[in-house]
Amino acid sequence: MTPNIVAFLCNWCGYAGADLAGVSRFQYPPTIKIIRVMCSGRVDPVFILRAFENGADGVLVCGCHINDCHYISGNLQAEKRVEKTKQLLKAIGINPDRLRLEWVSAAEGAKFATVVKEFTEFLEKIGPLIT
Amino acid sequence: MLEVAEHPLIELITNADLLDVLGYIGNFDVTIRKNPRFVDESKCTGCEACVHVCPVYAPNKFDVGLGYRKAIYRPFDQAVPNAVLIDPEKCIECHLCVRECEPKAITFDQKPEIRTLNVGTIIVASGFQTYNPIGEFGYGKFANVITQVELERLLAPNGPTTGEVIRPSDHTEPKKIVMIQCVGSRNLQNNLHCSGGVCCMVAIKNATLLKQHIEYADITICFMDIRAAGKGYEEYFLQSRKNGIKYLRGNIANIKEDPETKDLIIRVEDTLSQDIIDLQANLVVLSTAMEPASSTEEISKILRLEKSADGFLKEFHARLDPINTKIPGIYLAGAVQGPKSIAESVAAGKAAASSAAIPMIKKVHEIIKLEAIIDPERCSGCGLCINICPYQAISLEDNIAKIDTILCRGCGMCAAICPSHAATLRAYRDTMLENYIDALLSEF
Repeated sequence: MTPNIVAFLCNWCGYAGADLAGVSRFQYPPTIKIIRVMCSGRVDPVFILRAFENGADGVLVCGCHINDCHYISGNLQAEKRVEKTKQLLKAIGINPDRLRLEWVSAAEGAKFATVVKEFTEFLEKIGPLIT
Repeated sequence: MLEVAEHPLIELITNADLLDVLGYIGNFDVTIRKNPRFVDESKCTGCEACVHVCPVYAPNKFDVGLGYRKAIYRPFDQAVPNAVLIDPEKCIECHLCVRECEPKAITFDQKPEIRTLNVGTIIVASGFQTYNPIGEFGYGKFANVITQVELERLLAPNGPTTGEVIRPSDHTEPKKIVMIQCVGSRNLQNNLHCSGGVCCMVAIKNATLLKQHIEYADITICFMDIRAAGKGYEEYFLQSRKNGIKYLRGNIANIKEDPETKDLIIRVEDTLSQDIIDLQANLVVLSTAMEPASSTEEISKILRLEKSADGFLKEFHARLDPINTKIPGIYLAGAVQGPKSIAESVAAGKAAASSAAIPMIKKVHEIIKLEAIIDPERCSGCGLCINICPYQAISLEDNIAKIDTILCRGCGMCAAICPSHAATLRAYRDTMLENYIDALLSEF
């Protein structure tokens, strides 16, 4: 089984990190579908739920490291919101670990590849989300 | 400073506090409070006749409390503007100074003055402070443990001792001096940040000066690493070694005081040979860390500027754009951004002045049209977006959110929090992202 992961990457860190992973030719599984947002704070819980509704097995949100947000406090908002969305997922019977928040800077291409690899392995282990 | 004061295009406002900043690049409204100095700056000639008659003494802040000043005083010889001021906490209002003042400059009825300035760009240069080592290495307990700043004032010809280096306990010339580096810095427990090699160079400079003052002085510098990184710095360090200053790569275990002579015994672990060494010293000098000035916290709040992990104000990019901040039109100069030597501060000051002049001369500020938009028919005026906006770009007008297109940077946090989907980004609308999600997952 190959999991489907929807990844929301912030323009300044997560997306740049993914780009670096690409140009550095780090190998990671082709399981992620990337959506670029300006800031991880832009990710509305509605988007995450919609992704799960449409058949995603996992959702990854990547933002800048704490204190490094391009928009001062966007990643702090993302952190709060992901935490709340996890509670919501738990309430509706979805394993909250299917939603993952990671800080990946523009210089961390290798970390991005590792994050995707680990998340994919985790989702493979717990199996698909049947909705 | 004098040049700044005399420049026809620069208005210098001293003794003032920043209260509020509103607006955006090209149109900032800065509210300041000019604190009373109880002396009319335009009348005072700086003759100091009032200072001589003043009967009240107080510790001199410029000499870090080593010397004394009066309740009416000039902070230091080169102070700008060249006028005295009254310390309202110390003044007993005997009015002896008023009688003495020929130009009638002393006015006790001065009140704090609130002013609002309309400016185009802002440069923050509020500096740093040195770490207060009270309780560490016997500072504050043993008389002959002083800081590098105090030593500098003792060495200064205009200092409290007119340049004579004496130990505080018995006012004799110290023969054996030990300097301890990295006090309050490079310590995993409270502050792991290095002060950028500044205290290393200050210690080397002061040791060299001491050697010139006291030829037979035996100076040992206990260091972690000597960070002499800069033009001519390594040569200066090597020269100081040739001049007989001793360097010991050592961790300080403890300091004891001889109760009779007030000499100090310092137990050091030589980290190269792993030997335990007991050093004797007449004077111990602590090289204290540079830390963010106490005003930095307030300034960061008023200007909505970020701080780095070390507490200094955060620049746009540590290497590629160290002068700009994330707020367009606000620039950093000097040690408010991080520990800096004189040369680095001068470079940063010039860079900030040029950076601030560019948009002012161009008279054009480019913005990317990524900003948030509000659907007025959906907006309920709940105000959630106002609190979340990091740039204070949203305000309520007739109970409907309104976005300032110049302040908005297009992060989209308001769009994510808006419960009625009234706020969205011009280029990243909710429907667009939702369609994106649907399309990405439709093939499965």
